[in-house]
Amino acid sequence: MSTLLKVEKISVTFDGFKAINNLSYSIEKSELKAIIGPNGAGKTTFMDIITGQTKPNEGKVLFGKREVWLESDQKYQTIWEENLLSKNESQIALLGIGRKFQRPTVFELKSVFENLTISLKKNRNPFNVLFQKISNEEYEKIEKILNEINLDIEKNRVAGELSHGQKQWLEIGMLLTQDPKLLLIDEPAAGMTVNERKKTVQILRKLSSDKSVIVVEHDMEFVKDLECEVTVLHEGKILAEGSIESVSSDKNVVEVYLGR
Amino acid sequence: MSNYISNIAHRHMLIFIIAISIFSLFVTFLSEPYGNGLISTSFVKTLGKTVCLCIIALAMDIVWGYCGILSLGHFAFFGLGGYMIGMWLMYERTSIIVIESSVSELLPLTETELSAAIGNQIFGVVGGYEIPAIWMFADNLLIQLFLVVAVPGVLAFIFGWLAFRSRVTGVYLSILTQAMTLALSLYLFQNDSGLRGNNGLSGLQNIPGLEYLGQQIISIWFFWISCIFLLIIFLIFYLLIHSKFGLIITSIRDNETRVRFLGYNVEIYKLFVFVLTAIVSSIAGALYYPQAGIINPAELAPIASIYLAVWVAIGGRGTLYGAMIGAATVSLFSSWFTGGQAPDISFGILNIEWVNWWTVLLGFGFVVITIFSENGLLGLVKKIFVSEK
Repeated sequence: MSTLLKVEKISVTFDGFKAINNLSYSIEKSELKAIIGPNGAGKTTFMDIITGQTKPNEGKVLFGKREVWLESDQKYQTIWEENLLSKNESQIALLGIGRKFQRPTVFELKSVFENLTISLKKNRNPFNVLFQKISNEEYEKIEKILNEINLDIEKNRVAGELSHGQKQWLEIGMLLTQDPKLLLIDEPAAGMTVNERKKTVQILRKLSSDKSVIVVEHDMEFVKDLECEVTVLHEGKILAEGSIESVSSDKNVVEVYLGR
Repeated sequence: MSNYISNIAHRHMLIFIIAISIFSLFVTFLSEPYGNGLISTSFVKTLGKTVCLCIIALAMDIVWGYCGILSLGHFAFFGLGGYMIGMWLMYERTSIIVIESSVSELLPLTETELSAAIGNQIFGVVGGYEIPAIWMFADNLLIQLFLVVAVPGVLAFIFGWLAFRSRVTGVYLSILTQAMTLALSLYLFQNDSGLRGNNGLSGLQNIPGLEYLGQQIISIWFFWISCIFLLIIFLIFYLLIHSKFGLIITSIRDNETRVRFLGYNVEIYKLFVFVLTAIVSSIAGALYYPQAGIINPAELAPIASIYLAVWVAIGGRGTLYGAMIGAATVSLFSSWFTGGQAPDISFGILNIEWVNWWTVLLGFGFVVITIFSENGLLGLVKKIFVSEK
């Protein structure tokens, strides 16, 4: 396996408050990982850093590891294709990092179908966009994604009319039409019914068959159903890492979640 | 343009083509030179000017109604367009007059004498006779027409690039655009700005080389040209908003962050829209001021751009039709009320003279319309129409 994203010793300070403190993290290709932690643990800030919205005071964020054979030295050398800290939000998105926000953010006035066409992986230059059409393959791709996110029958509805849970799915669908390599999913289960949660778990697990997915949640039950490696964040630092069972029996974690 | 456009949209475009054709023919057959003269030449000019205001209202609707940028500076571009065409009109006409009056003299004027005579005619009012450098192309219509597009285009590009790159949005951007407008207007008020200070440019209704036609005919010609431009710009904008580009800019209006995180360079899109609408505003101004006859820096005052936003808000933004309805209605009412034609109302001690009270009425109307219909006059009409069914 090869590493897709590597975060090295990042720190962020907001007005003297250390939101992220010397944090290192990495994810492999086609891996599903979860991050949990109480409010204020730095989960959203962590995502802001990866997606370019916040620049850390220290540390590195690297994306897309590649091994290159060096003829001269007769050995493999590791090359990171991209340094995310030198890029802005839209450039990072184009590299294949899709982000779902905590509050579902879809284009409420547009139809489900239109929402998905906006994010299609295509030239994003305004002069090119002026003359873009939807090809048959793209129609099929959108249909396929609509199917994956359980919205095939809602295709022509205005997104604003969807339920809260459906909007969450639509937002995930919007990330999918742009063929991402890494998905950052912030609180997917918030405001969902039990049934919707189950479907969301299925969607996320299926996605991780060919994409890397980081799910941020503070709902332990949901994370348990994902059956993946869990990282517990607390006060901008990693408190524990491992399976949900080992993490939830960790003394420190119990104290943070239940104590105080 | 693409399969984003529906059949209904095609029908809308056809309806507009038919409507504007009927309207312009109607005015033509009631005009003095080509019809029975029911519509006076001055009213033809008012209509022509109103059509130009509809064009800038369309631009305002694209930038604000569709892209969500509340620019309170588009009238500055309108004024710049007027100045650019006005320079040619004034220079050319003055030079014709100077040459004609020199015919009686024994020797023909030399190049320097001619230039000094023209300079004296134009700039005597601000105490100068030298022709400023910015007038170097004023004798060339094609270059001045190019400048109608280029000058506001470059200004909008520089301003927009700086503002959008720094991610100035919302009310802060509106304030910046007002500042730009004010700065431009104050600069033009200076006597040494090279554009005749507060006198502005005048006599623009006289088209050099076409004086023999008379104002009756020129006014109707300008009316036609304005209508043609309104039609072309409406169709371009209509296709634009019904393309994927339109989908993106309305998405930027509704949720800029989401669009940015989908990999779009939001700033470039905003800049594109800002520059495009600035150029359209300038073209509208270049058509307007030859019909108005005079342009001075007061035309570019910050309040004018605010009025523009009010027209679009009253008509209903984000519909194109609404912007035109708003601009036409408010500006026609405005010229009726402030032109002294509206009968004054007397309540004993309080005498309502519409020349002064018009702004009160406009403000009141604005409040009432916003309360009863968030989508302006067009929304109100739709509401009534739908509820009657």
